Amino acid sequence: MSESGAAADDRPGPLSGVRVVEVGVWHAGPGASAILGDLGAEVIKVESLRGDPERTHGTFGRMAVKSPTVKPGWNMLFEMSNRNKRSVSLDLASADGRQVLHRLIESCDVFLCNLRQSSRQALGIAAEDVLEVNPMTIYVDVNAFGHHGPYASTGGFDPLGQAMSGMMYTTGSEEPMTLSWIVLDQLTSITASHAAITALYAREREGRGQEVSTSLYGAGVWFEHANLLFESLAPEPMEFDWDRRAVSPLRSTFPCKDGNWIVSTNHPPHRGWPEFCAAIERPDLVADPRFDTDEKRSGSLELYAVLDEVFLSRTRDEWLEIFAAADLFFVPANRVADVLDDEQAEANGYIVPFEHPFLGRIKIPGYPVRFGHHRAGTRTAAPALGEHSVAVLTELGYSTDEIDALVDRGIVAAGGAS
Amino acid sequence: VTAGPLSGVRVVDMGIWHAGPGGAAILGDLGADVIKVEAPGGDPERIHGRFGRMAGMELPLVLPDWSMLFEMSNRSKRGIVLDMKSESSRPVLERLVAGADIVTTNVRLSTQARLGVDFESLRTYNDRLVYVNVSGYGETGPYADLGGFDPLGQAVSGMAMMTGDDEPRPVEMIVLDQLTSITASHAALAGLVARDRTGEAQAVYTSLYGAATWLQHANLLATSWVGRKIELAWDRSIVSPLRSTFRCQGDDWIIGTNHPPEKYWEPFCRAIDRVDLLVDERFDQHEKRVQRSAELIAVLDETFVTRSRDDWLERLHDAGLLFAPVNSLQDVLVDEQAVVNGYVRNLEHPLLGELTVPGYPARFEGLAAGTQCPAPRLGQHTADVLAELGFSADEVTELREAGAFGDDGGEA
Repeated sequence: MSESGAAADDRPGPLSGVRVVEVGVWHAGPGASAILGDLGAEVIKVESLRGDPERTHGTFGRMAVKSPTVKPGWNMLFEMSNRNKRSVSLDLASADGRQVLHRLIESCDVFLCNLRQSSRQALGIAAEDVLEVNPMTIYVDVNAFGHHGPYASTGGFDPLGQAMSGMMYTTGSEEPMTLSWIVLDQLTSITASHAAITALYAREREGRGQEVSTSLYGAGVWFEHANLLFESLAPEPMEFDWDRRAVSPLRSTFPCKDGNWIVSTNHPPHRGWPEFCAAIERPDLVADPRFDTDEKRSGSLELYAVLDEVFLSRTRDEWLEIFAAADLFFVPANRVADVLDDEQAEANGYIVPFEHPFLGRIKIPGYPVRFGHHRAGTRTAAPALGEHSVAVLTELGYSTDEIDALVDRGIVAAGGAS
Repeated sequence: VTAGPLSGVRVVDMGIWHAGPGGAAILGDLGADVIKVEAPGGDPERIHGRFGRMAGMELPLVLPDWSMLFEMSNRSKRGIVLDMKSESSRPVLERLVAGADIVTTNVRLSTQARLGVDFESLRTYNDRLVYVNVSGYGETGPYADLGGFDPLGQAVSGMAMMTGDDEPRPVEMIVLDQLTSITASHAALAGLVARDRTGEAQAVYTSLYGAATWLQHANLLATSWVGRKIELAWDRSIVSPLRSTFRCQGDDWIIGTNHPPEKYWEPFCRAIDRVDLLVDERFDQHEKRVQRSAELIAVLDETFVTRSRDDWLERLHDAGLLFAPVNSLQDVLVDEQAVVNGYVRNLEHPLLGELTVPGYPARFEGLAAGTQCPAPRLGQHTADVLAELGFSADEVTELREAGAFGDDGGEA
């Protein structure tokens, strides 16, 4: 059943034939066109002569992401945001550079931009400019806090979007904390690509392009739908932090003998406390008057002291086998590194092997959906700056002489490998 | 009411709980006509009272078949009752699927096969169908038949360790169910585009596990690249003050972000009236500030508690620095920025009255998106939908007598 790596699969993607032009920087924005690329769209990244600043950004969370030992100018963040793309490097401040961009806009189905509004206006790539050149285009606007309102022109990065949307108070600490790392940038990329595909479908039916606009803030609110709806309905502020003892041993976490944890969930009513006590070989607890109702078990430090001791007597895998046999819902609490080696993740294409041009064979996350007829997921590694300038300009109808002249005058940078 | 971008698309939702039905609700937010098909007893989420730590949320005003979770998962839909276990319901199912663009389901595959609602069965009624399957951990592999709920998906995917990996802490509440709904609707849309281009039925498969790996792309890629564990825990004392959090007067917090640290140190000190730090020999070079970050943050903490959050934000914004308030969820519900962009909006709910609800997070020019109508009562639209499907009143009576809508006739 499992696919043997993206590289061996030459089926088209569900968005094959769709052409995306991106003028974007950092992750939220470029990450969306990378996802469209995962789905088979052809993506052209237009960069300034200096390139996307993410190419040279040095840290990611608490770690360095630049790797001088691998290749100068390469870093992991840029790879993540720009897989599946070709790079064209242009002097966008020059009239001739704009002319090239103009032709790219004429040729595209989706135009994606996350520059600030003032920069877009200066470059002539605001929504109205692009839609005037090509009224059939889907103009995807990604910004920090929304198109309107007091923060409309404020820039922002992942942690600021997390802060605005309430995400930082969901971590179980009184002190606000971000969820690591750049999950909101990624969620915004998911959201922007969701909106882009929706608008593409609407275009097929209505015969017109349009602007769609989303933001870090919007994506954060979408993610927090349940929390916000509850907060909206509840008469008083609600507790959203995780407390392993607060609900029920059947919706909790337990550390095991080998230092690993297991996690349980909301069990259907017919599988409950007696089955659990039997599985852990503590049938005495069923009728123990200290613990014989849901209410008594909720939040009982005494009960968790008893159970914690029981769980420390066996390893995680021993417990998982016991609970599987009892048909109770317990799974391992994997660490990120565990996921990379997890058979289940590999079988479903959530983690796929990828032959990277200079990192060699590595494991990377895939597109989280399998299509019956189509291939989805990373097809190519992130491009070098200007790696495809010549190829793309040739496709646009520029002659070799014209391209040479543009390169000589410093309007186009045709750098990079191959 | 303006049309949504998916107006004219018809979706049949055969799922239960949130991951699955939530995807269909998003398609409904975008204007698709979504019909939720429930068994005679109704979706178990209708009567599920406990949500995370809240035993209650059985709000006194609500009906016996209503819960907040059900509302969240089933907004923007109409509801019908159909007893799939009864052969008599088959003609209704056939016409429903024949007229649908998308079917979404998160029932286990073995149950789908038993009820004859698996992809191979459904496509015989509609050779242009987009079938969207949502499972716990993916439809193949050793966990394929295991049931899954949100915290389990977070556990298996490493997401429960996202706040640091000494102890798992699933992120509350049902954010992974919601993310899976986002993922499923994303896949349904891509399937729809592909269907129109190829003319062929499409089957797409996703899961809680898949959605969580998607969210954690950076964590997974970084771990893969460095070949060892990476630090995930947030620690405000070891990051640059320009991207740390600060508690202000009144216990409100603000946060900064990745400013180029050398360029912005001086404007930062000026904005907070601490020019003394520019010449403080403990902190007068970037390297020293990195080395002594805990000490520096402690010094700054004393300054930040002296003014209100809004005061600081104004000063920092005036200096061209990117800082934002750390909002609570209550703040978000009334935040002007969220309201004007439609991230939260008011809804007149028939049971609950005026209510603030989250919207669809993208704005379409001239097209409406967001909650279209509240979740249906059990079987509320059975008669309407059957009439649309061309069943006459007599035929509906016959179906009802034959048990197609269950013993009680499919009315709540």
